[in-house]
Amino acid sequence: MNVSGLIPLLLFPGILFAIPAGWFYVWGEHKSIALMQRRIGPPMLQPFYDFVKLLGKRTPSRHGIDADLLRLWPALSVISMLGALALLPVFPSAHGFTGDVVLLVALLEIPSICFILAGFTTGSMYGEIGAIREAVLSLANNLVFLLSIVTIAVTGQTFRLSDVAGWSLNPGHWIGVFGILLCIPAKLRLNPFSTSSAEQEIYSGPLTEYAGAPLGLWKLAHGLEWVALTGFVATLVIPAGGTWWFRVAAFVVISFAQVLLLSIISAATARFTLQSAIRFYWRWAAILALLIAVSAVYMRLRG
Amino acid sequence: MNIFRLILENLRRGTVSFPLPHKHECTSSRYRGLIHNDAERCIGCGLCAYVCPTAAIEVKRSGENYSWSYDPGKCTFCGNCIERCKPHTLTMESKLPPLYSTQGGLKQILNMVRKRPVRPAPAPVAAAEAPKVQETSTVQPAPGNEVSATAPPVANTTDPANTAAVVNTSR
Repeated sequence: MNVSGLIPLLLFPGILFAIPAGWFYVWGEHKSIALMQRRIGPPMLQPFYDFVKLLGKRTPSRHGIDADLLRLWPALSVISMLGALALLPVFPSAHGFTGDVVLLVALLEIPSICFILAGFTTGSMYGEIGAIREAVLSLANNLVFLLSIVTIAVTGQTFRLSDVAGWSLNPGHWIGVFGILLCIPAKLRLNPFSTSSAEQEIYSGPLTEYAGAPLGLWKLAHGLEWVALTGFVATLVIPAGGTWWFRVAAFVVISFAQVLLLSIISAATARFTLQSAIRFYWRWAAILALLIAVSAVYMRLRG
Repeated sequence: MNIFRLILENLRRGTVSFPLPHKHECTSSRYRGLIHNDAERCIGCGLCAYVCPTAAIEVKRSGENYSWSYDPGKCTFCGNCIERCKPHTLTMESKLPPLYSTQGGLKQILNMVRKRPVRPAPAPVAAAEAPKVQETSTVQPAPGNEVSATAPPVANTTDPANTAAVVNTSR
């Protein structure tokens, strides 16, 4: 039995790395935003403390809400994110399989779907509003996200992740990376696309009714989303080849640089209304992404 | 792009918030801190408990004895009790309350013997009028129950014992 295939899932960038890294990235976001607002911010281990605290809390039973379903959605999100991380070709020996980009996109989308379903499961008015907002925002940003991935795949002439990943001189590749970067704030529900979990407006939306261990799992899934999405971009820009430790170091540094960049954007912008967010993705970003994707396909057919 | 300039300035100037627990005093002289009751002067009228909107102050009577309790965990620091306390025995501390980790950690309970309210001693307004005022005054403050001339206590007229005291003094 070949156990080396389990390394990406269990060690790096999987469970052993991703869980503490997720807490670290979340702390990095909170701390950097706090410093930009002249606050002190939380200590480094705060996300870990929060997780442990939430695991130890008893969840009150609610009439008319299926408790198993409430637990299922965050658990599915955590599993899908760990699966997505296992697909990322960080080590030089990682080859993946044809079409793993499609699987990665699907796995990255599962937390958003679970977030929507969780909103409707709770039966809370705020949860339902948040779920509807997340669904609309997901439709808006996924158009650009998918077009960006198609652009990268067409320029790389393959849907195998290990082949499209890495430094490239093709401008289509970089425009695709830029398109993915544009979508990450919406996927992570950060400002200015934090409409679905607007904490001062709809009390965290679908998470309003969550408490205890299921809420802790949501927090964990959110940390893993940070690692998976920033890690995905990192694998697309790390130069091909190189030793494993260089690739690991580059993966961590580029990922954390994105955390800081997204935190700056989050601190510098106010929350968009849902209409403004849709307009941003469908009117401007989508038109740009569509043009790039069509030109990439055209060049591919001619070449 | 003003926001990015503001962010840069914020990063350069450093934080303005203080870490807990506070190492130094950062309150003003009018800060509304914990309530402090002067047990020597409290007459146990219970007005503070009556006006407390969150029942943070409770006065329980048992004959001549009474217990005055204050739970800062319930207190909203509105200052109603201070305002209504006629003998002015309640004060608010101007420093931050200490950190506590157990429920009711800062709760104060004072067990006291009830004192009869007294008419205020006449204010020494003018030296010439002083003897005249002394003639009309029939009650002198008991030892340990002195009240200041600027803060005259008012009798609790709803209590029969106090009503009797008022009647007696008016004869």
